[in-house]
Amino acid sequence: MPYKPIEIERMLTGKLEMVSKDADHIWFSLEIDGLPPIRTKLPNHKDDIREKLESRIHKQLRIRKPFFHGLMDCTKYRSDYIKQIKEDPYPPFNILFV
Amino acid sequence: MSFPYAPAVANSVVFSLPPNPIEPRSSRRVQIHKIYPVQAYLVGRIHPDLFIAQPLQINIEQEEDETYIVSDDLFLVYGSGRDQSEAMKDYVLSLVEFYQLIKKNAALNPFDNQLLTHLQTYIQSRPLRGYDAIQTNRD
Repeated sequence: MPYKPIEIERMLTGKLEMVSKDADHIWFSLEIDGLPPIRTKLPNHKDDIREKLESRIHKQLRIRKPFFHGLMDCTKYRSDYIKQIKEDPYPPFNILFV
Repeated sequence: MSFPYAPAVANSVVFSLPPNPIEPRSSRRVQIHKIYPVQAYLVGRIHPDLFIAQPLQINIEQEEDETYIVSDDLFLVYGSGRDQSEAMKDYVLSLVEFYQLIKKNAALNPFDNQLLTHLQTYIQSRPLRGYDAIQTNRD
């Protein structure tokens, strides 16, 4: 079942403790020691987040779809997320520094 | 403001003709189907102060509900909208915001400083007035 932007926002700010910054879009960021900052944003609409849009969001979060669903469905927690992106970020961070 | 972008590959468009040879020529129609995702390149000015210094490859995708997603695989920025034009505008706005966020944080974070260097190979700051002045001098 597709998630709503507000549900993803609650997960980002509540569970992952990401900090939000207002621009035309709301950007969420998380800084973890030794890693590049994680940044994501949500669409401005309130409609369901469909598959392709969702994939763009979990890519920005550097995790795969099942892990993202785990965070959304409360089977994964902040500590799991930090461990995951330290050990196996996807896509890897070095994609930015070619 | 409209944003110029060009298809990266020719196979994004398929032409099909009805195979019936008896059918009168006048009734034949060329149908154009876009097969998503389409790859394209973003070029030109994206903001009064910013322009694309080298073409940035973008993907245009369509959701099941017929909304569109425009994104890149380099900086992982995306935009969405009810049609391609709206998605493209949202993408460009997001890219500009992303650039401004990284630039603001570059002095504080070495990773962002490195990312900014990479971003600036694609996006460069050049105020519109100066750009126009250069064009005028060339002419």
